[in-house]
Amino acid sequence: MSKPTDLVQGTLDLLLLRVLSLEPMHGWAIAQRIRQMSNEQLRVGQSALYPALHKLEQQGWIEAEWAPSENNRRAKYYKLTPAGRKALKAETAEWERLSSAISLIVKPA
Amino acid sequence: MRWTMKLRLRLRSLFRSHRVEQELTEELQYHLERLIADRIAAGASPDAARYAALREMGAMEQRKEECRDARGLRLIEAIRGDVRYSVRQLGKYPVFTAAAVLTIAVGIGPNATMATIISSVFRPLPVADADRLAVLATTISGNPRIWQRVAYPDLQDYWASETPFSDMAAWDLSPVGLTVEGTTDRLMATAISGNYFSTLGLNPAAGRLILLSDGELGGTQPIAVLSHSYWSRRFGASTSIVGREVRIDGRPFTVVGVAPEDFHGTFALLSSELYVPLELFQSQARLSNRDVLAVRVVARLKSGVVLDQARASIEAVAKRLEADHPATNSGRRIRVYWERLARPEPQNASQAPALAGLFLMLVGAILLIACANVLGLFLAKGLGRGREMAIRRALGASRSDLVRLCVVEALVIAFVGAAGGAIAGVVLARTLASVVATPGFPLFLDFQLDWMTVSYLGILMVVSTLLIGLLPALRASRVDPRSDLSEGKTSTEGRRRQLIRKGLSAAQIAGSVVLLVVCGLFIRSVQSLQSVDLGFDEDRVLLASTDPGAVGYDANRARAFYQSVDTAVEALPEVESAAASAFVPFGNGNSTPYIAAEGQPPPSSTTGFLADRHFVTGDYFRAIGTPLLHGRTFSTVDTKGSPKVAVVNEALAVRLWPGENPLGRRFRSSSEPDLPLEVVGVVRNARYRRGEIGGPAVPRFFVSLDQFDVLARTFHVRSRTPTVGTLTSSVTEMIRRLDSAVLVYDVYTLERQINDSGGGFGGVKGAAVITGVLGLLALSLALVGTYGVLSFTVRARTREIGIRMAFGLTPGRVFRLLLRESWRIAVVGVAIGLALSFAAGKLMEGVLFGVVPYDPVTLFTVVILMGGVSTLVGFLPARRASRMNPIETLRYE
Repeated sequence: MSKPTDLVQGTLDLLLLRVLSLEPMHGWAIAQRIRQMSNEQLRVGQSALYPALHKLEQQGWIEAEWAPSENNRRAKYYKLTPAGRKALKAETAEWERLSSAISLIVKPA
Repeated sequence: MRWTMKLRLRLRSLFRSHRVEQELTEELQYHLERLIADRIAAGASPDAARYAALREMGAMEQRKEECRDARGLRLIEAIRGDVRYSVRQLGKYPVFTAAAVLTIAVGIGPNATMATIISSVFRPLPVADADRLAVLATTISGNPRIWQRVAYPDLQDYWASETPFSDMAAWDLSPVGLTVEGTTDRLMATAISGNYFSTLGLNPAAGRLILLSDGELGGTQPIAVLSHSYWSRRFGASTSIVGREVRIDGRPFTVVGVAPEDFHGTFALLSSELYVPLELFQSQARLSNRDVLAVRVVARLKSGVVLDQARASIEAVAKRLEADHPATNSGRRIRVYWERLARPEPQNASQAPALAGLFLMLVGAILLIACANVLGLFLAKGLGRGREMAIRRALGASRSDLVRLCVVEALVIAFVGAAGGAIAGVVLARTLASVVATPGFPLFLDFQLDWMTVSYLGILMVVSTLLIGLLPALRASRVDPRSDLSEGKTSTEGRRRQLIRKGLSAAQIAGSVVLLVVCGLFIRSVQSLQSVDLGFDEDRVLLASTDPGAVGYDANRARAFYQSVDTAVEALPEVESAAASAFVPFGNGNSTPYIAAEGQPPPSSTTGFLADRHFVTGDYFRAIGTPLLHGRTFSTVDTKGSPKVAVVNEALAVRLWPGENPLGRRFRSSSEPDLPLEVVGVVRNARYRRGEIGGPAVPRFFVSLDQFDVLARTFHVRSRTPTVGTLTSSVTEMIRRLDSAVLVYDVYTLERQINDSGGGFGGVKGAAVITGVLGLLALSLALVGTYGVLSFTVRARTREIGIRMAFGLTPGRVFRLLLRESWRIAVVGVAIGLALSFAAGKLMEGVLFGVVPYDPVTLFTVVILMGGVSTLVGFLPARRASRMNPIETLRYE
């Protein structure tokens, strides 16, 4: 089970925003999608997932809507707001800057 | 945009919490089901899948809690819990709760009343960009007075010059009679320049307003604009009024439109019901004379300009005018004030805000005293609560939880009390507005609750919450579960706690001392005003005003009418003498031209001096009781055609002809420079203005109403009997019988005019009443507080007193011991209070009459009073203590 601390602080937000930028989806689907997109490398447990989603909703970056799911049950679908789209752009840029900086140091010359 | 969405989410979390919770459960449940389904698909048995999934999910409740945290719900939830708990807790002590809520309400009430009044008086005019409006006023070097009017030629020059004003409009008030369908209403009209409404940026509610295109001074076309309130009241807000003909002072006028709703003119304490062209209500001679301060001015400052800039540029023009027109403008300056602060008139601009501040401080003191009482209650109750707090600590509440609980409890009390007090206070203010009447002045008070008042009261509520909640909260946070829960801990409190409580009552007494001293100073001011010899006898004189001009009388008809009224009134058996005058002592009307002795250059601001001019009939001096010292009064030989004569007061005679006999001498006034006045009589100096009291009498002269036509007059009727009550109806009826169309108004006694009107002592008297009520309120709060503290002391010291009595202390000594306690509190409180009253007195110096801020009579009375009541308050607890049975008290714990 991965704990929130397994991911760099704030990175989870970036992953969630990125996944939700594809299409609106519910919590379960988000977790599946992250696993799948990272070639099973990253697993987000629900203990980290839901508080993070609620926080993002509170920040106004994503909004929620109840809709029937693929197995015909009611599920809470999250989707990106315009503010979230902007935040995603900013966070992505920040992440790229950070990761390239880290690579510069970590990679042998 | 984003914060509104956040707020919506928070509010949803707060008020739809049930729904939010349910959704949270459902969301996590869905996740769980998918986990189980996944595992079953991977080949696990349903039971095993469920077990594994639940394990993976971890504690559901903990997940939920984490989500609630993410939504920022925990604090809200906790506070809601505290509120619920506090309400339940307070409900358990109904007497305590009622006392605390009521005390806060009593503290907030006067604040709500005062804040409503003050914010209504200083409320911006309901016009476009009201905060850019300024007023101009004239000063003359060497004279402390501020004139609220400006000479019209000066205004034209200021307007034509380079100043940071975008508009300057002229106006003045004029009482008129408006006749429609045979009935006449007496109204306050505003005579306006053509740009008055455009300067204010107003649009008509119907028809059109008077425009600059009508004429610079409103034009000579007889047109009129009605106020919205008069239009609604008199014509049922029917638009057919536009184009209708009405008579104003007997002259035909056409109503062209209606002013916007809520606009009551530009004089703060009056409601103007009619707007007419200035040109038709002031003579061209008056308006073109640079020496006559003829019009009031409202001006609009360009945006971004500060007042000092405007003042500087006006000053520059004033200097230029001084050089160009030395005969009239030397030493003349213009003051510029923000319109809002210069109410009702520019001369109040220096005093009104300070006075408003003083009154806010006084009512603020009441609230502080009330808060001290409630704090005392809380502390007394808190004593028994140490245990409860300790248990809460022991059960895991954090210090901040306890502090929050105490503050929330205070908040609940403060909120309920403040809401109740505010409602009562605002209702009181509105009741006052409809009850308060000033003689001879149709006072218009529009007390409305506005957001300024509401936010001010909100701040007061928060302050009270902190005042009454913080100390108990801090105490609660210091609770130590180990020592506070240990057995055998007695509830006798330490010295420090007693000190806090006694300090509180001393502070309360100090506050009430300040209020009582302020009230005392006002009462003494009224006393010294009333004890002054005014130079006339105000007892037994009834005033009654009429204005036949308002129904179209001309001068000749009016003269005949007045003659018959005079004869008829004097024939009444209870009338000793009757006379008429255009103005009333301490009234609003006045005429103050410049005068100079004949042989001198024509009187102007530089060549003459100001003198009060009164228009009276020959019997006036007898009726009002001012002795004629030399010469004669007016008689039948003084007619319209005969040489103009005057009766002067001693001050004027001495000023014009020092050491000489003034009889037969002649002088001129700037109002009629071509008509010299011959002095035929000299009367004793009398005081007709508040400003004259305690200073020298102003030069004053009287001219004959038979020689000068003034259509609106006030009868002064002296009664033979000490009560003038019966005269009221007989005089009114007499005038009505002669012509029922002529309105009779302002019928009341001269005594009332002096004591209650704004021009008389009404303001000081009102202040005395207000501070008196506040002072008594403060005193009773402080006494209740002190009594509470002393009773509490007795209870807390029961054991000690019992021991002392057992060792031989006599009941008498016990009694004195406790009484001394009461006195000690009083002495400290009175000492602090006196020191503070000096400061308050200094602040009030401008509004006091014939009394110094440290008036010994007031101070002595207050000290005696406080000594008396503190003895009274100390008496009961002290007696209770002295009657205690030592055996019983020792068994007490």
